[in-house]
Amino acid sequence: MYVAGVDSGALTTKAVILGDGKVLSHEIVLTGMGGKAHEVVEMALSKADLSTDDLAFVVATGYGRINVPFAAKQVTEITCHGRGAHFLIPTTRMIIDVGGQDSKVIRLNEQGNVVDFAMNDKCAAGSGRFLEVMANALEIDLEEMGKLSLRSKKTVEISSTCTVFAESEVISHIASGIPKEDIIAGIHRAIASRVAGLFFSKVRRKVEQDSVVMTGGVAKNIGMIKSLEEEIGIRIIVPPKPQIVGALGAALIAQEECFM
Amino acid sequence: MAEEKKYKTGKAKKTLSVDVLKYVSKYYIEANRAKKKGSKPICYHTSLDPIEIDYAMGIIPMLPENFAAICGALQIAPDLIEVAEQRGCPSDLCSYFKNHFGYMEGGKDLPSMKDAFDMNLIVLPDPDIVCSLRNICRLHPIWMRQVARFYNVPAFTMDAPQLHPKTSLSKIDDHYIEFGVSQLKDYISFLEKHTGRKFDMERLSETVALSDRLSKIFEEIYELRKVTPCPVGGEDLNSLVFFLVTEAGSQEAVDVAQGILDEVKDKVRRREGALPEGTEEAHRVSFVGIPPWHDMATAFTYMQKYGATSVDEIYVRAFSGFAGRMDPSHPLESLVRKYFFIYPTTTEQALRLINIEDITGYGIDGFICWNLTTCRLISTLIARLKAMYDLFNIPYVTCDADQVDPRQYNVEQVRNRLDAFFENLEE
Ligand code: SF4
Repeated sequence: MYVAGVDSGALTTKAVILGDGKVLSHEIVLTGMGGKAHEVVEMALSKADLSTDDLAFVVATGYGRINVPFAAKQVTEITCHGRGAHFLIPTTRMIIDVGGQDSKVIRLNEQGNVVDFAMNDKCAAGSGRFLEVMANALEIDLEEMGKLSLRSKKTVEISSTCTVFAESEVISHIASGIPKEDIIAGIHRAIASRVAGLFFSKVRRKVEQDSVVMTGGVAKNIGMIKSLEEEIGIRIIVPPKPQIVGALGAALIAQEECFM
Repeated sequence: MAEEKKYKTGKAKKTLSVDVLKYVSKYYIEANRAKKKGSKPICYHTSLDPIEIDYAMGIIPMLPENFAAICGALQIAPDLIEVAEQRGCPSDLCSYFKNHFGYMEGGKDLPSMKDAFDMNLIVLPDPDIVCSLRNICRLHPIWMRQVARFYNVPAFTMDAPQLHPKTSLSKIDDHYIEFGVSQLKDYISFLEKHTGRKFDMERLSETVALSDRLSKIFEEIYELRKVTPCPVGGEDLNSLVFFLVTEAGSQEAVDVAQGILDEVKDKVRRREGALPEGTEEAHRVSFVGIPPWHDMATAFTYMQKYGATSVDEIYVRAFSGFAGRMDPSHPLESLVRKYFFIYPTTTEQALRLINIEDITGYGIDGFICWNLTTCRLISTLIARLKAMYDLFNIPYVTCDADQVDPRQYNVEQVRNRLDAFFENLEE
């Protein structure tokens, strides 16, 4: 039996194909570059030598989930990230996801069910969008930020919590000749301190080792992980393909639906 | 042809037969008529002022906050707010205030106002006097001072003392009450001086009795909402707040409320719930904050797909149930107790607002908190409440919005949060 999960995000669309509980294939495409949900699912299917007729159930997640007409069910990213992270790392109790629009902290129980969650307020500071804006201001690729920041000798302070103000702060730091790596490290710290606020608002008891997992594309940013670990004081586990955790969770829910 | 609206109206589906807008229109039309004829003076107030005194003296209380809520529901607040911002108001200043400020500063004549108010049916008549009691929000008296300067009319500000944190509401020291009474007496002298009307204590006893009856009816409605299925949802209760805020002390409000109470009782007898026919009541939630008047559909109707309904709203209860019974034989003291010692001025009232036991009678599964970008009062209350929910492990979700400004609002984000909240309640 084959099922699919599709995560339709603002930046990328992801699809995961499951067969008998195993991940058979996945696909990640920029949403604005032909990343229409059905095309991404078809790409993932063809990697597994399957076609849409083989699919027993499809679940959609992400902000664009309501625009995936072929999905039989829509589920929020909160539930899907919870399900996906727990499947990959059963010790997961807290998930951090710095998404394009929202940053989230999700608390799970031992069964992997979501027991609580918090999201940043409506401001973009502390979200993936903040990183994007700053990468633009610094004229560097988003992907480069992580590695560059590790070279930082002296993290600069980004004091503004407003994205627009922070952008001007970054521009003035560039103008005063501060090395880019120090500015990037400052940007990471600014986001990390906001996310840490969310994290601690949901911590109930002592956080165990190996229980904090970061999902979503920003988890690939090694500098961001480092800053977050400094802020929350514990090691963060990043699954091998953090971007597909939501789609994986959606596929797992699709599988459960088939057994219901 | 009317221009297409910039923001889509999100009207919630109501379950009661009462047409609140009809009463609101009637109120505004009568106020405008009285203004034109000069038959009754108009006094502007901020919310939770002792308007029973106005009713006793034949003065019409008008609340620009209520007006802002109407503008929000009619989707015209953004245009007025933009006028206020063009006059220098910052974007994070209270949008209720900016709605009114923009209206005064030229917004009144905007084409969208004329369209939306359907041939000028709802128009704020200019004030003859203004008043504010410094009890809930520091902006209130400043707002009324601005109005007084703009219209060049007399203004009166009453002060509410901050009670000692340990003071119990049942044992408020006499000197606090005496101070409140002296403030009310000064207000009465102010009204007599500027309107030429004579104050009559007996008449005040009557309006206080009516006000008490109104609160009592609302308390009864809230009691009836504890049954399953809940007979009436938050979308209705929030619009009924008009009667509590603007008509406390009038016979009409009591008559309308009595009709509503009878209807609710009837629904309980028939076991008819607030949800659409065929939808089982699966979740009961408590609604925290001023509702986003511009999108009541998301605030209340959206949750119906999860079989959820709002059975409690502290915003509405704050106007009715917390004062305790009023005593018409001591009208001034009763008004002091009702209006001077409320959430921001007392610790006990604040504790009662957040008293989980008070709320658990409603069989609530969780709280939906509406964090309002431009209302500091609600934002601070919600911060306190969330700490309490965490302590008791009660599920809650926070939606970021604004009471009337849709520009401060991302409906997709809010709906996403509501989806996540209900999905996890279901788990
Ligand atoms: S800030 Fe809040 S409490 Fe104060 S006037 Fe505005 S809406 Fe009302």
